[in-house]
Amino acid sequence: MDILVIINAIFTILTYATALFFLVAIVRAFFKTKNVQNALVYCIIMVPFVLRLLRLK
Amino acid sequence: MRNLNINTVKAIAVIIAAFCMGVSGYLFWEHRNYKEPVVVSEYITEVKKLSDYSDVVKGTTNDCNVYIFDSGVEGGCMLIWGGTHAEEPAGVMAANLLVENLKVTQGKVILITRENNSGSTVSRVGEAYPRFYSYQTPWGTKTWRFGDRHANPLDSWPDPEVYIHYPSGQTLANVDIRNTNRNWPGKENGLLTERTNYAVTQLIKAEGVDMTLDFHEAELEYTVENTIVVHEKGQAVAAMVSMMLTSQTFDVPIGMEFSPTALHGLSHREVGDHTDAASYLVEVAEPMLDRIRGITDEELLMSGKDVFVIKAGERGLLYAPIDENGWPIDKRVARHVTTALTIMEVNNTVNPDQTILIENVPSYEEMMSNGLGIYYHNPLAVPADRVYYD
Amino acid sequence: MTMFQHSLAVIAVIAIVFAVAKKMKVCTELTLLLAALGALVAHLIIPMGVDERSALPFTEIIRHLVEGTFNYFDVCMTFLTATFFMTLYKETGGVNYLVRQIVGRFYKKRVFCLLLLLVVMMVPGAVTGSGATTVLTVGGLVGAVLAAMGVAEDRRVALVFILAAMSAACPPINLWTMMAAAGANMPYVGFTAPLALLSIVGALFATFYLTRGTKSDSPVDAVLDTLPEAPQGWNALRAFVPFVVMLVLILGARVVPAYWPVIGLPMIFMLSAAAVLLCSPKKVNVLDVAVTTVVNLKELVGIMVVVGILNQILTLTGARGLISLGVVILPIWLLFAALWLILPVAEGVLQYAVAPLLGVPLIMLFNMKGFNAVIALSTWSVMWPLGDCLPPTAVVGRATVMQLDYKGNYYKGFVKAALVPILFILALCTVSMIFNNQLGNLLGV
Repeated sequence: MDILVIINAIFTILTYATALFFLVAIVRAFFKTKNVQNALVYCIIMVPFVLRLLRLK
Repeated sequence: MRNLNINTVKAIAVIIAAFCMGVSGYLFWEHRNYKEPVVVSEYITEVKKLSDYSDVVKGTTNDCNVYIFDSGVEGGCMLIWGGTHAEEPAGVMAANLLVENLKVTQGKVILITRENNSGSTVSRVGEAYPRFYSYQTPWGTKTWRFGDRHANPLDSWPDPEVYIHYPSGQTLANVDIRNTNRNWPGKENGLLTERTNYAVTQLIKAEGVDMTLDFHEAELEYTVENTIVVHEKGQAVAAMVSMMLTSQTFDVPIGMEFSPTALHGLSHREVGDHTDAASYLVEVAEPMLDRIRGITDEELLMSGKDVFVIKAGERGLLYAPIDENGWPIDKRVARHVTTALTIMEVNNTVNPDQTILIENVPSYEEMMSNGLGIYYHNPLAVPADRVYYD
Repeated sequence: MTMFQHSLAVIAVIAIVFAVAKKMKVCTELTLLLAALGALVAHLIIPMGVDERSALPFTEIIRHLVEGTFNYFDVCMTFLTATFFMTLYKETGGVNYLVRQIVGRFYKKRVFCLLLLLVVMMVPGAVTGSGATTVLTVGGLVGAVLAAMGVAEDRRVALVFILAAMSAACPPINLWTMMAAAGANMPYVGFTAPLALLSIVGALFATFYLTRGTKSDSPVDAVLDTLPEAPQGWNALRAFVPFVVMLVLILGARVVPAYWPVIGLPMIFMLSAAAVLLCSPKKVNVLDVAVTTVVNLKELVGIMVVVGILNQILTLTGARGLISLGVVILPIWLLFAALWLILPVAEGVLQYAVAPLLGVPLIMLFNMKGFNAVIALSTWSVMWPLGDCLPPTAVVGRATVMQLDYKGNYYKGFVKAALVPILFILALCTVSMIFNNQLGNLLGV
């Protein structure tokens, strides 16, 4: 396999890792917040991160 | 008490979000994994995979089926594909109809129904598209995946911050790196869509293809509409095809346009420039693609009826006519199939050494009067070795 | 009931739900979500016209809502990573170091300093096409220097916003132009000159208009005393390496595209953030910085996710088509007279989605009328980003207020201060749009 294809694949994996990193941060912010509306917003923000990491969308 | 309340709200929010993700996640999974059965014509010679021509797509979603109809009699070779843009179903259905019925008695015809298969495994965000579209046949319902103009991000992520076309160096919108009609002739070590087009280019060279035809659909607001876009090599043929179909067959004329030399990455430009083949691309009107369309659903996709688009037409804002009869899928598919046959027919006259003779494909009138259903076959009623999945 | 009335009723329901939710002090993100849900309910209840329609099962309704959250997913990833990079840089003291260096060296050379700041602001947006990226990467830094130069708070927030908007409009990357051109099958060619002309003139006007009357007459040392100290150990090399990494990763793809991997903006910012960690003399908890980033960006990212849902529902119900149709059937003289208002307002609602929504039909219309579509699209693409301070999304405006820790009134302070330069740029673009053929001949496009 061409080296450039392998490097591109590595950047894909790193991008997924970045999404996971921020999902963890969003979950932490969700648990920390004492504001009901903020909690709901964090919950909505999580949705695309979870589905992308599960490779469903 | 306050803590209890917030925790309760959080728990309810998580349950609702999990429910929504579960339901939609299943639907996304179902869309991505649905296989379209194709009952190949009894006259087919061989079904290959795209990776047989270049292993750069091996094991990927875009390693599509390549349906080969070789008469064994010396003549020309034509490659026809649908599915470059999975939101343009007439191309997929037309290629599928040909695969299920074609008989070639001289020369060779090669068909691909899903040129960018990845794009058909995801719906286009923000467009509120249905996931599937169906056609009623005498034996039941035949269903195809409806998808995105671009490859699925699950197959190609991330996009670059800007897409620089290879080899021209032209700058394009970043998402267009996942649009297979923006990265011809392909790049051997590029992203999935670039590698897909590289593999098809290798197919064109390996099979000695003389002509290629790329099936598309376009919004009625778009200037390049109901027309054949052609490379310099095919201009004489395309002009004659346009005249013949407009005067004898189609109720709405089909035009002919030269492939712009400054717009890179499109099949009608790059295939002609980088291979020996003459490249053609054909467009037909699809109101579902218009930004000014009304309610978005499968009904609009298949009937092509939309009162907002009609209103724009009354104001002279469209490049194709439309009335309350819309642009039904039968008409769109029939135009594509007939255009392909007429290109072969005219090319036989202009380039006799590239003669291709075919049989068993319905005429425009037959498709319009009978509907398309009888030309798609029941996968359960034929031997398993005639059923392939895209 | 006709489909026109149906889609109009859906829009009315959105407006009513929005107004009621706002009245009940619901935050903008949840207000927009409620508006989208209201639109969906209205769509299901109200008759849809005479044409047959497909059934919309409950599971598909859920699917449309969730699918909408992906509309701007990549943009959200860019916002998060860019802000993470700059938050790390700020937390480790890099921003303080750079601000002190710029003020120390250039405070007395006022015009030069302003031009330098203009260039610093224009570069990130010009190469990424995102005004929010500009604000999130260098907005805070430039804001701090402007504060040290004595520019009043309202004005410096206004200036940072307008420069960010103009940086997004500035070539080589203008995402609105690219999206609209791609939708209309126009090559992204010939836009550089008109986009550069309009965005740079706009940026220059805003810079000198909003800093008028300020003087650099305090002693440099006195100004430096007002600025926070940078942690020990920072030097020019350490301070510039992360930005060099970012520039190399971005420019590499342009210099040797055939041999350069596809990195994507999120990873470019994450690698630049990694460079900050390697260069910084001060250690910080990375996850804490990520949580801070998420908390700071909650509104921005939340809005983008929810606007994605709203956009999906507008399309599903025909409301998007009705809005788009409403614009393109206006008489051409009215378009010339009204686009300066329509485009920024639409941007405030739909963000980048406005380019394919309005841009493509408008290009078709202008082509049909024999106008120079390259010039026309360029003028719209400079007007669009100015709407990024308008509700309901106000993405770049909110980011600017957040980055500069602005305490004043959003509309009476910041937007009011920005009004004259914004109107100047809109007027410039409108005149260019009206004289599109003449300007096209002049610029050779």
